[in-house]
Amino acid sequence: MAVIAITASTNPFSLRQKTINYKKKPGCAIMVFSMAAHPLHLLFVPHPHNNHKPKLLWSQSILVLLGLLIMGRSLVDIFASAKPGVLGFASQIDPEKVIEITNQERQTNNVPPLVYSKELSEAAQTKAIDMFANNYWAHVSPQGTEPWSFMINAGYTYLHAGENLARDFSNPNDIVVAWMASPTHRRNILDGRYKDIGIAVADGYINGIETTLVVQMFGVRQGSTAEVASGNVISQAYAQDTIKVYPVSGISPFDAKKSWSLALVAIIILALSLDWFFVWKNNLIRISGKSWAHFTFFITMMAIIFIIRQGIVL
Amino acid sequence: MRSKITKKHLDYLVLIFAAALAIILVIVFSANKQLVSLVVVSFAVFYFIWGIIHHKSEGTLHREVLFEYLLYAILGAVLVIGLV
Repeated sequence: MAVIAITASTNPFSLRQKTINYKKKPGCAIMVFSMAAHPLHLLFVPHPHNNHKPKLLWSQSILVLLGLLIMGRSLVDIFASAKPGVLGFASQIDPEKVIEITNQERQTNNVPPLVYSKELSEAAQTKAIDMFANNYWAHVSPQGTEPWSFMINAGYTYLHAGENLARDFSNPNDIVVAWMASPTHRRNILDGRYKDIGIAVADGYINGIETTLVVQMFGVRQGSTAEVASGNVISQAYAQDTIKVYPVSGISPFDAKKSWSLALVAIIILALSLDWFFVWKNNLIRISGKSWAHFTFFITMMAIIFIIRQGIVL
Repeated sequence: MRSKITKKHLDYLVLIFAAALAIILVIVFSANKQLVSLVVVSFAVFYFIWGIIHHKSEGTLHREVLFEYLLYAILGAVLVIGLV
């Protein structure tokens, strides 16, 4: 990359100034050689040998970093597939809490609360087992089995029914917040036609990655009257219906990717900070973007990376 | 000179305001992955355009600078998008 740099400074310690002085003296070649910097120095600090711009901030280096970023993430995925169980995420989601928060949302929106249904929970549990067994994450299985089949098989003859799915969340509140943020899931949660709710929380492996699935099923039985059973009567039995939930496990693929991204962005920010400081100190004028602006941009991206949490809904 | 400094500072204020807005929007929409992606991509595009306008007004817009802002914007967006 052609980066033209000149010093506007009369600072005797300016690197450019030094170079000019040396050239006037005999044996200048040796003296210029003595200015050679450590490769790490050239990576992070502006210097005549890196055209007054840290090598890490050169366009070629940014392309390399982009490649490393993508490669690192791909390696996490490959490693997770090749070594099932090493990377994964398992959390302890309390099903009772999910129902409680769901009903709180309904009550906030003046919709009657849902009543726990053992049959719907069985259907949700079977659905979760089916997703792990057939290695899929979808409302309809690869064999074409729809959620409604699980309900009918569990003995729940529905008039209207719905299903919400979530995975890799660390707590019940985040799940319901994510569902409420999605128009289709929100519609399910706030649908006044539904009277019953069933839920399953299951831990297992999908594509070799340990994951925690939450299946939430809604329904109203055929022949159900419009009258709703008294709201807060929720059987405690469902806690035993859920599949075994393991304690929080090691590093999830998300955490590994997040750490990799944060490491790269931290290195870039370090290089930009040093560049910013030395450009200011040496009054360097060069054809280049503004380090201060780049610094602001990457600090923002770093903050966003910190904010982002894992967990997806379907 | 005074007006030049003011213009430069105004540009930086706009960038800081956009950065703060992006962070606030990500916090607000953190549960909606699509909206978070949209905010991140929008901020990256904004940054690229901001770079062009800022350097053009300073008379320092060169092909290298344009390419630099483009690469930084892409890298910044990819850093986040892969996690959403």
